[in-house]
Formats: sequence, C-alpha cells, structure tokens
Amino acid sequence: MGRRPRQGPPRPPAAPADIQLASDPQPDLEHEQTVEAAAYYDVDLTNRLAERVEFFQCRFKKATLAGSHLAKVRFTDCLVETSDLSNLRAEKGTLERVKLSDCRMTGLAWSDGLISDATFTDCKIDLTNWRFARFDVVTFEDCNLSGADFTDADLRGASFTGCDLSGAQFHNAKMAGTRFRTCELEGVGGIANWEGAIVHPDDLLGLSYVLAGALGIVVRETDR
Amino acid sequence: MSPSSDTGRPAAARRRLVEHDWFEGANVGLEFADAQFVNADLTEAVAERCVFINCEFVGVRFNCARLTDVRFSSCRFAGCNFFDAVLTGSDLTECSFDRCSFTGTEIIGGNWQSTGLAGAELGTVEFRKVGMQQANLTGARCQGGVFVEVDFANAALAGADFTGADLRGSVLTAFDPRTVELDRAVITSDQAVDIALCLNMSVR
Repeated sequence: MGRRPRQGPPRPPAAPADIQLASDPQPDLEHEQTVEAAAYYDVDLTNRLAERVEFFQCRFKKATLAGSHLAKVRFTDCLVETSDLSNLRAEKGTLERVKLSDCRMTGLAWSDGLISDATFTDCKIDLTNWRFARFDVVTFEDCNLSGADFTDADLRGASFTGCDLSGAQFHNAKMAGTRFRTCELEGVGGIANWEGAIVHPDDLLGLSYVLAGALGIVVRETDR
Repeated sequence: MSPSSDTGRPAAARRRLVEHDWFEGANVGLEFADAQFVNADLTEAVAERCVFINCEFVGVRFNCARLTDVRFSSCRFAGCNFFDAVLTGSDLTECSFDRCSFTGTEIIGGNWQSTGLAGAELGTVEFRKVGMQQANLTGARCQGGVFVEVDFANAALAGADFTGADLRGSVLTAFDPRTVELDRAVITSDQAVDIALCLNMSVR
C-alpha cells in the first residue's frame, strides 16, 4: 500500500525570532554551509557552486540564485519573493514550509527532490525539471508551468489552480489525488497517467479534448 | 434442451441436425431449439421473426442474407460467413462467434448483449443502434469499422483495436484508452469526456 498524502493547506513557514540582513551584497556559499535567519534582499548569488547548503528561516527578496548549482540544497521555513531562481540546479534539494511568490524560475532543475508544505504563487516556472520529485502538500497558484517536466514525479500531494500547464509532461507520474482547477492543459503529455487525479468540472471538457488529441482521436460532431 | 450434468451448458451432442434446404424462400416465424446446422448454404436467405435457441451453426453461409427481427439466443457460430448480410432488429444474445467472417455485414438495431466476439475481424462491419452491453470484444480488430450509437457498456475491450473506427454516439464508458487502441477513431465531444473519465479521474 502506498503513501497516503497529508491533506489540508501547506503549513506556513515559521517566522524567525530575529533576522539579520546578509552583510555582503554578493555573499559566497560554501559546501555544507548552514544559514539561519538571514535576509537576502537585493543580493546576487548567481552562478554559485555549493553542495548541501541549508537555509533556515531565511527571507529572499529581489535576490538572484540564477545559474547556481546547489545540489541537495535545503530551504526550511523560508519566504522567497520577487527573486530569480532561473536555471538553478538543485538535484535532490528540499523545500519545506516555503512560500515562493512572483519569482522567476525558468529552467530550474529540482529533480529527485522533496517539496513539502510549499506554495508557489504567480511564479514563472516554465521549462523546469521536477523528475522523480515528491510533492507533499504543495500548491501552485497562477503559475506558468508550461513545458514543466514531472516525469516519474509523485504529485499525489500537489494541487494546481489557474496554472498554465501547456506542454507539461506527466509520464509515469503518480497522480492519485492531484488537483487541477482552471488550468491550461493543451499539449499535456502522459495524460494516460492521470488515474485518480481530481479535475474541476470546468476543466473536464478541455481536458477531454487534450486526452483525445493525445490519443490521436478525432472529435467531430454527429452530422459531419 | 437438456443441460449437461457438469457444465450446466446445453449438450451439443443432443442437438439434432437440420437439413440445410429448410431456408428456401422467405421464412417467417420459424422456431428452432437445440438444432445444429452444418455447412448449410443460406446465401440470400430471407428470414423474419424466426427464433433460434441454443443452436449451433458450423460452416454456414449467410452471404447476402436478410434477417429481420430474428432472435438467436445462446447460439454458437463457427466458421460461418456473413458476407454482405444485413441483420435488422435482430437479437444475438449470449451467442459466440468463432472464426466467422463479417465482411461488409450490416447490423441495424437489435441486441447483441453478452455475445462473444473475441478476436473477431470487424473492420468492415457496420453496427448501428445495437446494444452490445457486456459483449466480449477482447482483441477484436475493428479498424475502420462503423459502430454508431452502439451501447458498449461493460463490454470487455482489452486489446481491441478501433483505429479509425467511427464511434459517434456510442456508449464508451468501458473504453480504457490504455488498453484499447483508438488512434484516429472518430467520436463526439461528449464522448471525449467519457474517455477521460475512463482514466478514473474524479470530477469535483
């Protein structure tokens, strides 16, 4: 018997008792570094290479991690706003009790990672790689996830509301309990794996056309 | 009709062989039970309101036959040919077909409930307004066939190939797109929803 995803909304990040601004506007990151209660406002962390970095109760605003390679990075109880995580590589990374809003994450790679109690709001998450990742109580709201790759991901604890999922791939994904509401689903791949997914009635017709198209079925009216 | 002691099915050995010239001219209201027809030539035969119960047809040629409101119940067809036959309002319930040919066969109305057509070649058949609930179409080859307004509810369809088939107006709730080939099959928009629901999605 498989894991049963926890129900309910994601738990919010715990607020730090105190928080310090990152002293250096271009700080370095070291392997296995632990950063606690730091505020990264207008900070440039592009193209960093570090493994097993851990951020606890940190705040990111107008920060950039673009192009960095942070394998096994861990964000716990963090807020990430208006930041740039595009092309960040974070294989086997962890997001736990994290809120991300208005972020640019194009090309992000979070393969084989864990995303738990996370919310993504108004984020650009297109062409991202979530292969083999596990989503445990995660919500995506009003996000652009076009071309995202969820191959072999465990999405049983994920919900998508108002998202653009056009061209997203779901091959071999676990979908029992995954929720979709008012999403753009054109060109979605691996739709035969959607067994057990929960679809809003408003989305059903659109989804059925997508499915028909994916199967090569011709939809035509009766008198033609 | 006497059931055999071990299977509960009618005993074929007790069927009486029917001479094959019985079908000359129009046949109306004939009734047969536990009968066997072997290599009979019923080409261009015309039959109305006839009843066949627990009969066996072996190597029978129904070529160009016109069967109207004929009822076959629990009958077995082996090596029969239905080339260009037209069955109108005819019931074939709980029948089985083995190595039969259906080239150009047209079936309009009637009930084919629980009938066994596993592996049958149905690519040139036209089924219209036919009840095929619980029919066994496992592995049936239905490429390019016409199945319009056919009720396939609870039919067994694993491995069936409906490539290019016209399925408009049919009940498709038993079509699992993971096990039934539907490439280029033609359906309507409401049927697309049925197909989606076959993936066991919840709608709420």
